[in-house]
Amino acid sequence: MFGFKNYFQAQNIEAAYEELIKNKQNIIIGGGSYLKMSKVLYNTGIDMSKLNLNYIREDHKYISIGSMTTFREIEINELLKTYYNNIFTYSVKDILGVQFRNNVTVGGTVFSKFGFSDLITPLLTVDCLVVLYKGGEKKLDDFLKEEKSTRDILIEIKIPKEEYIGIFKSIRKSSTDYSLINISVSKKKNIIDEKDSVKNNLIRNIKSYNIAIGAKPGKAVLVKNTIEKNISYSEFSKGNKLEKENILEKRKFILELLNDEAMENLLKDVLFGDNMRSTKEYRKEMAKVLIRKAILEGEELDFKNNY
Amino acid sequence: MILKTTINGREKELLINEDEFLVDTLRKAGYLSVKRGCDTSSCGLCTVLLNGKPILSCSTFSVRSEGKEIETIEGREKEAKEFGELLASEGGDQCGFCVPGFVLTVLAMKKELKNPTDEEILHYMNGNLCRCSGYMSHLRAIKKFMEVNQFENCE
Repeated sequence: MFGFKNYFQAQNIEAAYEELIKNKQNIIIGGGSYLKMSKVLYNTGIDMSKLNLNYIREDHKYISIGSMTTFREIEINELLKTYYNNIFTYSVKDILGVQFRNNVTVGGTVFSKFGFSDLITPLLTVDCLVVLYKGGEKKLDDFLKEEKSTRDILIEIKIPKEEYIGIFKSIRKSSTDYSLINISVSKKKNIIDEKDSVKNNLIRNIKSYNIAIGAKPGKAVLVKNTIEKNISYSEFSKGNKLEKENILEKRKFILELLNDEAMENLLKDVLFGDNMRSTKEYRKEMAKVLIRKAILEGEELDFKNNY
Repeated sequence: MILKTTINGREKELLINEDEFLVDTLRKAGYLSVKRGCDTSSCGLCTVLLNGKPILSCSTFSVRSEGKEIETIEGREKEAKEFGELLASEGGDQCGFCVPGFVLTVLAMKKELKNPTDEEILHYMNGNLCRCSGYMSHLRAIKKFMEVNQFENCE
């Protein structure tokens, strides 16, 4: 059964780190909700709840979120709602109940690189940085790729304050269950080249999306956007003119760009797996559907702004 | 170790283990309205208020409540009775096992949301499961309790 023999209330991060490296069985406590599900008896539980690491603040370049910030604080934060068309609220709002989200912390989720995380996936697409006490600042993508577990402390995550369109989608068996697959797409709002055709502007936009896939069920990954190479021009290349105001035709064109061949190529390096929630085949098919839906939704948001 | 905390407005000093969860501490101290349900953070039975926010006492370490204010249903008797009567009149109160946690979440919601829609109420209450009834009777009781104008939402 889970437990720890000793409890250490850290007064500063340095003391927490010194305690952490004393013994391999010492552990930092985030929210503790997932930790308690383990069967491990740890040596010392290190509590950082009094280090004032629950904050969401901004400077001219980044929004910084402290590692002890809860999911509920992210969900209702007004500053975060003004960026990335509220993608973070959407990503965390269906994670169990409000009581659970009042407990779960950003640090516990991000540092543990949980495969089922609904937060890590959108963070990947907005070029999030992690700030570690010893490891310093690094891209979340690079941090997730590190295989070896790090004896370090996550202090905060930093989200660039750029104008992004961000969309998060997930599939769950019930509204408060873990996702059986989740995806996120985001892009910088492009400047539309008025001299260029509507078709070329659309292609330029779609190939600029960052795409991430999570709950597959392993760690979330950022997918290389290969859509450009797979554009099948078929009927649209044969002189079909795409009118500026014709949204239905634009939808058809986007779906043509995101055809099955393009999606297969996009997902060819992503390792989907089986677990009790779903099979790898189902996850892959659903990832294709969700990516299409998300990009369409993103472009529809952009239609209002740019076209 | 000794935990210094406030429970339902009274300062308490409780002897706890370092890795003890709040549900165990509260039940040992006699607050038996706090129920252990799923023990996997899913059902909401063990909900208590910590500094006014609803939390799951089954997955919150007791030490995290040091110097804070804990509220259980024993400390909110008047409002709990008022809501309990509405819940019973709408047919939402059956075995009653989920009710203490449910009531505390409703009280937190009442404080946090002003004129919530049906969708907002259901979303806020997502973490409280009831295996006896459907949730429509709960919704009706909550709306009456929160004095939400039902017709306003229908429009």
